[in-house]
Amino acid sequence: MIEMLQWLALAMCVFCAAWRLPAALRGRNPGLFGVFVLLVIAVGLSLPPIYLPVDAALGGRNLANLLVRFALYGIFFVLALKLAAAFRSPRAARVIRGPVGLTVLAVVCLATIVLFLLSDLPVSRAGLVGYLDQPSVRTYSLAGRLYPAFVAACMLVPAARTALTAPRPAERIAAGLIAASLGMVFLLTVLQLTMLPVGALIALLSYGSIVLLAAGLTVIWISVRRQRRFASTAHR
Amino acid sequence: MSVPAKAFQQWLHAAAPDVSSAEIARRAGIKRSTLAQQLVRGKVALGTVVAVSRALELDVLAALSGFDRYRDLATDRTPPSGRELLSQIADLDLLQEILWRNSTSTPLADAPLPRLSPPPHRSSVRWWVDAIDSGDLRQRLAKDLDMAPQNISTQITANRLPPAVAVQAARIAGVGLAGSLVVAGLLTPEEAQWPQDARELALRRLPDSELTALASIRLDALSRSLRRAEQDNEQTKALWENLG
Repeated sequence: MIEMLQWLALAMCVFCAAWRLPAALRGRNPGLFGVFVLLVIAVGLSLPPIYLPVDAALGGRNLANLLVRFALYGIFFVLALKLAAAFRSPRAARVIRGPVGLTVLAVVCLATIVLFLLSDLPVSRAGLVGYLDQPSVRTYSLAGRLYPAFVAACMLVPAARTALTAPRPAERIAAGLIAASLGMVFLLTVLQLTMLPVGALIALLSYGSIVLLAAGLTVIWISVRRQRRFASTAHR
Repeated sequence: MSVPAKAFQQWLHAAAPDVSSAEIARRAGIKRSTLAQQLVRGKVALGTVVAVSRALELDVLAALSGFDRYRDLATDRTPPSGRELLSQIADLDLLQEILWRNSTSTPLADAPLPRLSPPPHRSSVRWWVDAIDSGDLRQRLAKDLDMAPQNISTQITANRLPPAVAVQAARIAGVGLAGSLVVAGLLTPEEAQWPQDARELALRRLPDSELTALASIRLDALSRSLRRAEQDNEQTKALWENLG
């Protein structure tokens, strides 16, 4: 079940990235294209058939997992700025781009590297399965959740507000999907902090949130393209 | 809002016995497939009846009142009220009148009548409802037509007035039924048998003070709706530029 969801999320991210490639090459929103490329990397590397060969090429010491963490930080930083602008929330943008947000990001990045170096990870394992008895690995994995949860907390209200007030149905649907996705990211971090044995639920939330995010962005992408087609036929 | 296809065909047969339905559609400027579809579905749009009546040079009001649900259209002879007439003058025409009055020394009584754009205008529905509503029109409409009050309000705000809603609103408010179909964009004032130049005369008779007050109310509402549209556009643009 979880594995199917992972493959579905991967397929959606690959599809979205490929679909946007031509427009991104023409200079349209390359940042968002980058988000999808990073998502492909992050989701792809959560799947053992992809993780193991990639990690082997990187030396077999689970450096690929570190790569996933930094891909996620990049995704959430760029996405947060895009979402703040899209949902017209200058306050959220200021928090994320300002001293508070950058400090959180720097601390999390530093903690991620330090904890990774402190951990003993001799054998390549996707998701660091089997190492979670080490406190440093557990903290490392939690630190990786904190920045996404911080961003989700900043963006949840603007996204939900747009979902309720946007003028067009497609915009309300898209904002609603994105808001649900952010809510799931926040919730899964809270769940992880509780240390309850709910690993399957956390996985469900994290890959589900990616699927919802990709779906929301696809709705906007379709409505933009349709609008442009109308505009170009109107000009003729 | 529609009339039964069977009744429509009986009416058509009586009105133009020798004309094929393809020919009718061509003359009325309706797509053949549209007419055929309405006939197959058993519901012919009121707009179709109006277009066909015009093409056959029939009295449109008499034609409509030949159908069961609209019998009262022909017998009702209530003329439009002054407020109704003023509600069907476009914002810009009101402003033109103000400008004109301030630029001329001709006494109003001797001046030529103003030239007004034909109704309906971009906020016809809203101002007509405003002119005839004694307070509970929306609720009573919703109850009579078995619609959600929210839907009625949305349609009015969007300047949409389906003929069924229009006629029912006029029945509830006790105003001219045919006039409601002018507001709905289905009939011309002449077809609704409004007195000649009724809107023009109503406007000309309006004292400067009332004209200015009316224009001010209209401009106020217009600026609000423009602001809303601009905000909506900004939201759409922000979404598209950042996430599209």
